[in-house]
Amino acid sequence: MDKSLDKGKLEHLAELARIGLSEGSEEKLLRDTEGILSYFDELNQVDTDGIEPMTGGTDMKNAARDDERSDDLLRDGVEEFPVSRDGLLEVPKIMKETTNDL
Amino acid sequence: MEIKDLTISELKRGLIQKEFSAKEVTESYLASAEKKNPEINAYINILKEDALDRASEIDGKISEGEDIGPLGGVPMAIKDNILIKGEICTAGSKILKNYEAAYDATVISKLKNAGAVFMGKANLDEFAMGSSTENSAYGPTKNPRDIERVPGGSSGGSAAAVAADMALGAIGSDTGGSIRLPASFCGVCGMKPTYGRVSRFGAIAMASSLDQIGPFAKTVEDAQAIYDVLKGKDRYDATSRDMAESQLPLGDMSSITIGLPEEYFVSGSLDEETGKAIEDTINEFRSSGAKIKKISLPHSKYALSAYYIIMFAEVSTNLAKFDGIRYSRGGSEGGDLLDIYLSTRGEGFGEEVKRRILMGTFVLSAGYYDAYYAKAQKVRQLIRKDFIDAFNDVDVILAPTSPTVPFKFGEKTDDPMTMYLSDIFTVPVNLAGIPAISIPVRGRGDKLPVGFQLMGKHWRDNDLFELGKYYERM
Repeated sequence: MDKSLDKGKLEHLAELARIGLSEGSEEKLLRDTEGILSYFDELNQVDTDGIEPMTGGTDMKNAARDDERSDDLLRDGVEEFPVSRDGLLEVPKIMKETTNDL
Repeated sequence: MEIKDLTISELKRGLIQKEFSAKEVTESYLASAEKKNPEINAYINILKEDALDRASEIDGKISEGEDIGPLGGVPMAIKDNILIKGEICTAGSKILKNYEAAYDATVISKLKNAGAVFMGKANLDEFAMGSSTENSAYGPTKNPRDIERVPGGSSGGSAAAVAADMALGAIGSDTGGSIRLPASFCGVCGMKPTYGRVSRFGAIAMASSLDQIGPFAKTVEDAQAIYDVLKGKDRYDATSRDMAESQLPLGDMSSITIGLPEEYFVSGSLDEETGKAIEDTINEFRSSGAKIKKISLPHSKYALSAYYIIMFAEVSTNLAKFDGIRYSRGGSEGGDLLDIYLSTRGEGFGEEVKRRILMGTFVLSAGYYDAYYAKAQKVRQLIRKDFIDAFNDVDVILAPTSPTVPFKFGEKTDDPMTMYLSDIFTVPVNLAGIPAISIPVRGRGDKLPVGFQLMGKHWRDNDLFELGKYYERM
């Protein structure tokens, strides 16, 4: 498998991660990530056959609690939201305007 | 004795006996903070008015004869990735420069109930990502022991505040060493509890399977006093739980076995000063009657790789919420949604944060997941097992906190891998979920501080405090 990163892959990752890369920052990023990824190659030396992955910091399976209504965060949460109006959160529009000729 | 030299229990006694007031204590620490902060930069924000108000409240309780709580009147620094309601919480990032917390973190509620006085929000590497506090959007913190050197990171502000008498205690977060490394570099105590011991609700998450909140203090006893307030199950952090406490019997040190992992002491792994200081510490424990035993943690060598892969992955998901809509509004208003995301995150995050998000996106992406992320999780299991096996033979494990004494500014900023290697002795603890404390090697006078780590069994946090207190009395 080709584990290297190139400019095209980096741009794709940046788009997935929703990070706008500035002009000229890609070269340094590629250099740094190459060093880090080659360090990670040492993991190939470890025999992990039959080992269960450790998928979290705890061996607890479930931590359910009663589903109780709480208004604790409701009012302050709206107030602290960057833009709000009349107790409602205001966000940029997410739909593009289209001309509908139906 | 000067106010700044008092421990928490001495401070409390003095307050109750009215030798001084909480207001005088807070004013004394504030004066120190205002004088030193322009140079040390331990605080992003000093909460002067709030601190004085809180101190007056404590004084009111004292004059009424009411209980002031276990940390009554104790001036504390709070790492600026932990929310205090109504205060700005930057996480050391430009992207949150105007973000005001809507609620108190659970540890903040607990500290408030315990009577603590919040001196200010302490500087950190952006989103706790770094080992030197050079990565803050609000400028680096300097090491109070030598201002040409870094204080360690990422909780460098918390450690420096305690070391420079700008706070009596502090809290930080430790994902891969972010409490212990700065404690070691600044010559104070810093402790990472067992994973699940302390609620993270209201701490800005970096890597959720690794993050823990813990205390800084000048003495082990003070660190324990803060820890005792922080710990406990919280309904808002599903990983937190209560467990029965037990501790080593320390009446007779000959019943204690301390393990030395051979992988941490291979030739060339420590600089000369660190090696010598750790050797002295081991000899002190040996003279006290404790049994010293060589042990092996065979997968230690791979801990750094496993840690960075898992942490990158969790960072990339945890930081997806900083999108320019929810926590701050900026970027190109008027553009479409994608433009807002790209510009807010591209401009708001620093270089290291962007690098980690991109690497995390990479190790989680189709075709690479098994080779990196799944592999790292399996290696993590082996590392955890190494510790569990070792603890069949020993009560605690002793190791250096850092391979080197504090380094100079700029020494490790060019190549991220060089910086990452600073965490080589601290990350295995987070992967395994066990507790560990960094304690300053004593008797070093004006020399640069060196810290040693005691690592304990899961849920045996008190073993570390008891042994640490024993060391301080030895």
